[in-house]
Amino acid sequence: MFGYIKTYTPELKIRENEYYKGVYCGLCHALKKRCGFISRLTLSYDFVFMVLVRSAATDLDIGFKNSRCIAHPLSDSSVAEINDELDFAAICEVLLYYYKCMDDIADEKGKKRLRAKFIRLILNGSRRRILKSERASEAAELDKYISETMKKLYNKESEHAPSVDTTAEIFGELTAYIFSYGLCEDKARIVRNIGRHIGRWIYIVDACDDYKQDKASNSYNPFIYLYEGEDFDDEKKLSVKTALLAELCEIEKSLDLIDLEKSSDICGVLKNIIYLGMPDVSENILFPKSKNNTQINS
Amino acid sequence: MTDPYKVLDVDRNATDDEIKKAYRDLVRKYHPDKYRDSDLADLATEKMKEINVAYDEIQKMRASSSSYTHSSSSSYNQGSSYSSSGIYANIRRAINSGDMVSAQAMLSAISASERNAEWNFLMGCVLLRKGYFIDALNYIDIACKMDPNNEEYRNAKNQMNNNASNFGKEYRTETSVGCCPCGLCSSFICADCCCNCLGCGNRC
Repeated sequence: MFGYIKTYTPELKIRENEYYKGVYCGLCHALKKRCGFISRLTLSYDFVFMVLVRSAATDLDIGFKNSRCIAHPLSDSSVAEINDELDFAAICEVLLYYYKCMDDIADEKGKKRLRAKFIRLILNGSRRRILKSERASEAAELDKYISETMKKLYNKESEHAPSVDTTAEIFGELTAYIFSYGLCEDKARIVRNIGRHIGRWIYIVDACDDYKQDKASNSYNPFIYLYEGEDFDDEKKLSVKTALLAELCEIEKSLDLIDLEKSSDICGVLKNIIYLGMPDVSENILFPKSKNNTQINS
Repeated sequence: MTDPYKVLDVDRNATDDEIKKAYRDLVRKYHPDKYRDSDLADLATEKMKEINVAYDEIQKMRASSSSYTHSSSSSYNQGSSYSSSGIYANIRRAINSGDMVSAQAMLSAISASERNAEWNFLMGCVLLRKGYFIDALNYIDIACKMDPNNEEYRNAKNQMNNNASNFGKEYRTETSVGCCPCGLCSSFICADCCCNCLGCGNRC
């Protein structure tokens, strides 16, 4: 579920890449401060995207400072200063990861299940810490919504309906809520729409990524039920690719309604992610390039 | 009072042609057809108003003698006559008038054994308008398989798959990316191109 929303680095300007990495480092620091050292294992670039969207929508300037850390012990690097948005992202990251583990415990078998149980145990401490902090009421609201929506998703998946979109939509509801949480309504509308389509895109890409494995291990995958026993062949993959680009189209339309300074780093990074990064990720999942250049059949 | 040059994102000394191009690019970006099915359609309409006011003002300021009309990147398909009978005619009418709820209800009421190619195609159209792209394209694919000679279904699918001009093209041109780094993507879709399926207009 995590790790799909990222830049296509070869086409990023150097200063945009420094900016992006700086926000990532800032998120790491925010996680450590809010939830303790161990919560850093939840760190992912996906939430950097959320921080950038929310900051762009609210015109929040991200400040940077030089800092060293465990990942960069030898030299100073430019790190985003912890602000409200980074702190919020840290809280969301822990809570979402915690409930993802719960989901894995219910769905997965063997080693994966054990791993999920272990991580959940570790994260429980961080989660309790957040729920007792000065942001306890916000955290409790988020926690409740995430818990209920993940349950709703689990129930929907259990129906084994021949549809990918109805389950993707529920995950989209979840990300829409998190993305727009706490924003004033005129900004929230736009960010909510971006959140919805990001969530749908992630769910679909994750399902594509897991398809082969899920089919082999008889686990749930929405594509198995959509295609009702037929192969997930190249023709179907092309249609999925088209649909994923349609989701990105919707994100683009919403992003266009935020007044982004064209020459800014934040604009450069966001555009790189939606125009290059995300299409590249989905392309590599749907049509992986194997060593001998033949396509891997599902 | 907002600076109209800022709204169009052009330099004060830009030529009339540059201003026209900037205006057309913005109209394409915020065109109401593009946002027809979006929850944010009203924001796009506001943006369009702002752009039109700014363009009008610059024209007045420059006392240009050229008259203009609001450029629309839509080309309207004047009702292609894809015939349909009985219940399917009603469903098409519902889709054309934007009543997806009724259209989907009528489609769901048809028993599984009677779900032919047209059923699958129209279900696909309804879901496309709802933003359920994966399921929609699956239904349209099934329609094409069930009725391979049907021009309407083939055209709809071809249009979606062959529309390479839109998503990210301008961005990739600006950043001078030669070959698409995503491995020569050939399939793009405008979320609103389904209206071409029913002959009620497109912007592609």
